[in-house]
Amino acid sequence: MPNFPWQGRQDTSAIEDDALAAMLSGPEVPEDLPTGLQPAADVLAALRARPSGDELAGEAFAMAEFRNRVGVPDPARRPRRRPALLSSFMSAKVAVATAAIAITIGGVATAAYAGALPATAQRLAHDVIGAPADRSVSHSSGRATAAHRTASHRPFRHRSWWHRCGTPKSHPTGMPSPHPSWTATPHPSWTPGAHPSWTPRPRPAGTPRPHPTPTCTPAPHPSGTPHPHRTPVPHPSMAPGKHRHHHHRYHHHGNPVHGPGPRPSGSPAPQPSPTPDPSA
Amino acid sequence: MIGEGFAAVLAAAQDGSESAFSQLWRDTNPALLRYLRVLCPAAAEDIAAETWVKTLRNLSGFCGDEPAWRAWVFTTSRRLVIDERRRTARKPAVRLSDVPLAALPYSADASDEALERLSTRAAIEMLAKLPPLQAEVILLRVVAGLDTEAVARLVGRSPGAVRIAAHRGLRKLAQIAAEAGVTL
Repeated sequence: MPNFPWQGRQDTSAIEDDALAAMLSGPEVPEDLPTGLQPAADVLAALRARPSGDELAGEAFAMAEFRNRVGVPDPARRPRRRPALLSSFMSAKVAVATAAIAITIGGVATAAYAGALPATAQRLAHDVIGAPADRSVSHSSGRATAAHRTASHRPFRHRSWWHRCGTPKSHPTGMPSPHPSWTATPHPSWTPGAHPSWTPRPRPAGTPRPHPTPTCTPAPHPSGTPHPHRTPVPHPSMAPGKHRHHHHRYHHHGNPVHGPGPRPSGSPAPQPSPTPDPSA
Repeated sequence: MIGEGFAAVLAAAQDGSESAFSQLWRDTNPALLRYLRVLCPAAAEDIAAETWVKTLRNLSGFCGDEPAWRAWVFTTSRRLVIDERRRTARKPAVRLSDVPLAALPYSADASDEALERLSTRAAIEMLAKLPPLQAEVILLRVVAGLDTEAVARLVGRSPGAVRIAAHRGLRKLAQIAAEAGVTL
């Protein structure tokens, strides 16, 4: 086995690392310092020497920079900042309060025109800003409120004179009570009873006009005679209890609910005939 | 090093006390200048002044002990040195180290101070002959007073690499000083 004369690490010396670490760690020179390190210890001591005059020459510049950037601000400026902050804070509060009031008023007005307010509030809004009257009153007064509703939808300036005069708004007959100084002058072309189908009927005051009863008569065929093939034919598979579907279907298509005629309960539903239309 | 009263001095300086900041500056600036005179001798004073400008800009937000304070100041200074080296690489100029030592301005107010300054400058010149990493590591350990871990974070090396560089630099510095035969 050959024996190499050179060392594995060329920078390895007799100086221990502990001595080097002791030189770097503090200003005190270790007592057991190797003689080879004494010049380096002198250099390090020179580097740790107290500061000289030229090393402190820039203090004036540094202090001026310190005053500009970090120095205590002028106390005379402090009271001027506080009112500015206070005024901005107050103006913000005023702005928020104004916005809240505006939103509230707008919301109430919108609700009043939508008729969503309670009855008392709706009446108040009706009197003040011309919002629609209470719906419950409108339904109960029948025809009287029809004219009244149209009038109340108008702005306040364009409302009828009886609204402004404080006369009752929901007259039973739907017409305003005539002012003593006012006499109605009918149009010459209008004569009551001119229409042949209209006969005036005495109606007690305060009763709403009856709702027109729906006619159950089917619409007549354009040709005058009912189509034979349109006659409902009962479907054999239709259960007797499913007649309501046909009623709904008729109703869906706009035909009278009662259809072409009464059918005995439990009879099968009509079905169109497969034979062609002779008239076609 | 200020020592145990550093926290109070720093807090007073952050509150605007000029005397407290003066104490900080007098403690840190000489070490900073010695560090810069090795790394960038041509613009050491300028970089030191710029370091303080940047430090003052963020002084109110600093929080830490004295080693952290020094590490912060020297890190700021080191970044400025890097910027200066890039700038001089684009525009070459005559280095201050090329000027003879005797031609440099001195304030000869006291003989002891002159001797001490001379010895400090001679030590800086000897240290400048070391490889850059070894010289910087020794300066940060000895002049700035940082430990191995802080120096490793500052120069971007591992603590082991920093320790090896410091030991090799000290051995080489001992050789240089012995060959020069200069009594500091």
